[in-house]
Amino acid sequence: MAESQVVKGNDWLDKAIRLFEALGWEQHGSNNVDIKIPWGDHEKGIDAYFVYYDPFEETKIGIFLEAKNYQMESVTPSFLEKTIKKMVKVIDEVPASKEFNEKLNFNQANLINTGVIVLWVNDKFEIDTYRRYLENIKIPIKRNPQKIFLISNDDILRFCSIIETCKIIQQKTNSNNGEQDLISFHYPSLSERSNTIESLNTLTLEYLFSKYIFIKTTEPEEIEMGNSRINTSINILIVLYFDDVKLNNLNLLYNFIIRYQLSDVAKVLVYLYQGDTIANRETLDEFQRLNKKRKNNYFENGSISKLLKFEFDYMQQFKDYFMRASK
Amino acid sequence: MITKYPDSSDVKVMILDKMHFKDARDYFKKRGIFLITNNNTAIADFGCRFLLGHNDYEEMRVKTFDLHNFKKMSTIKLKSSKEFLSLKDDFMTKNGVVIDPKSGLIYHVNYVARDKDNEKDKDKLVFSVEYKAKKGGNIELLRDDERTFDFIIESNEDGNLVTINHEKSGDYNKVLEVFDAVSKGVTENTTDSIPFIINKITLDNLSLPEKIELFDKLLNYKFEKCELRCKLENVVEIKIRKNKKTDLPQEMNDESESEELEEDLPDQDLRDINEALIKGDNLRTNALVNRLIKNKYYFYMVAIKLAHIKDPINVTIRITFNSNPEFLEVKVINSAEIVNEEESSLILSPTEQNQYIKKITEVLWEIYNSFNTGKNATDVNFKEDKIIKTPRKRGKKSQIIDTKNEPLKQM
Repeated sequence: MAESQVVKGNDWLDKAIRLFEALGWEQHGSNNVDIKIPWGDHEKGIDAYFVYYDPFEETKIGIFLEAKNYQMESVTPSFLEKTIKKMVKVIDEVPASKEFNEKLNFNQANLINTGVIVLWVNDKFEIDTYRRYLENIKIPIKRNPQKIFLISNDDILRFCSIIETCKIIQQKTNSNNGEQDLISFHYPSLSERSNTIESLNTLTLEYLFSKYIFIKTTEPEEIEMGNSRINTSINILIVLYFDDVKLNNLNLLYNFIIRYQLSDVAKVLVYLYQGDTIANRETLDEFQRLNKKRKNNYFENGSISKLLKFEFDYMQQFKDYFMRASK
Repeated sequence: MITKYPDSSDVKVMILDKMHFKDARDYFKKRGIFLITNNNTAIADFGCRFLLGHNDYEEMRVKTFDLHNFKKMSTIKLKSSKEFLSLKDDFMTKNGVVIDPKSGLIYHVNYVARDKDNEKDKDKLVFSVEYKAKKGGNIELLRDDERTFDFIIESNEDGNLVTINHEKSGDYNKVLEVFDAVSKGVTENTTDSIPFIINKITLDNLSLPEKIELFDKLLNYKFEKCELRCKLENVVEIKIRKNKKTDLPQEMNDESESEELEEDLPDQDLRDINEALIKGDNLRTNALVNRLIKNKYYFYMVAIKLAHIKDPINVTIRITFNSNPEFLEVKVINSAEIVNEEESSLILSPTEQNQYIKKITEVLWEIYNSFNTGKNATDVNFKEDKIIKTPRKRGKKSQIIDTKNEPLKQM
């Protein structure tokens, strides 16, 4: 590989690492570590290795990260297949090697079955072509299950947007947790989860690929009592919303909030990922009108729910941010 | 439209029990999530951890309840001395016009010119047909069943190919009604002769040995050499019928003589046939088959399992020569993926299914045409074609009502 390619590659790896650290992931070990696989008598290069606590597995999990920076024409179905197959082999073979524990895992009891391929297309990203490729890639079958996430431009930009929005939320609300840099995310207790951990500073992969991300927090409020003003705070629910801005979709969110008992708040603040368009504004107006009617019609668990106040705002969208940065 | 957010345990059950392994994997694949596993349990475990959106769940729902999305098709040929564009004009005359007030039969047609960049592409007329049929109901005794289906006429020098994507077998007759109405419309106003005639594969026009030979040639066809790249793995089912052919006009047939017996070939005989095929034998030289011929039986339905040479996929296709109404139907009845030496049910995409159906149909036309070189006997004027109006009674000869009240002419 040419010298400049290596530099460019490492540049991108650094950025990718910083991206995931901003999402609460912890990097263990250094970048670009070679792990010797004794029985195959060869080495596998690991770009980066991360660890975070997974509320479903109820343990910390280890994630192999592979960073790629290519032009669109190099991103062919066979390239994607090859990259995925390579990651499958890494997940299969590396964890059992002694060097892995010495250099990356440090003998921790992490569950290791996850890989993340962060692919940045550095010229024009053709999302339709890319999605078509995804549908047609052939993937191997293994008895021990693995999860591999192929993250590309639109995902990366979405993560950037999440990080920026969280910063704004921290400024506006009471969410500064002292030393901790990152906001606390609320993990609803889904019935398939037996434990009760509900709040984490990390965004798991499953949450990153979900259509809603919840943050339970408080907002300062001034109340007038007689002649004096009292500074207090109210409970609010923040939703980072990535679904379509359509009535059916918003109504489903509403239903989720009620069913998972997140509605005991003064208001729900929904940050929309999709932009501020006329169509969206009309839909939001319609939703608000519907919402007012709901107060009178809604019976949940035998009690009349009060009006659940909704406010909408927009997440910052990044289109070219990274393009400028990665060149 | 889902209004209640699904519980994650429900999503798990959906994926585990109601989605096929390949569909479940593909569902997540297109979202950039690759689940490397050999079973649905792992996919269900991981899959239920995402907070998906409304459209995601709708997509999941469609993929599961659409379990019986197996394609079927029937084909006939439309022969004409007219140019395809001229035929298009003929069909446009009744476009959007109610053809039969009683059933509300109506069609809408679109002309689709061939893609100049694709050599194999042909000019097409795409039809969408609607009509009402009477059906026994739960609330009303007799209710109107609104039916819709589509068919395509594809330009071809050798006889324009009409591909009917029928839902019910009654749809086939509606296509004939459409052709009848259009043809009448054209001839009424002008001195033009009938613009087209229908040509279809029918066993009735074949002699008894030829009926057997048709199946023989089909089963011995080298599918591995064609673009499907699959081979005949085995004959899953085959049905026989007793030859009832007589040359007498219908009224003079003694009912007791002309009982149509349809039978399933017993398992032992089916094994015999499969063995013969594996050995590469001609069916006609097979002892069992000869016995059938002697007793005036012939094949009218066969279901074959085709296995892809490279990929671990097989498809089972049923070819039926229906008699009521009389048309040839080619239908996918099963498809599976071999995972760990076990068959796991798999629904192929409509395009893939159609590839198999089209190839088999092509092969059948090839074989059928090989019987009739020189003879024009295969051309059937659709006006004289049988349109069965009353339901078949088991064991008795079907009531056949000719549209022109004439006995069927053997051309």
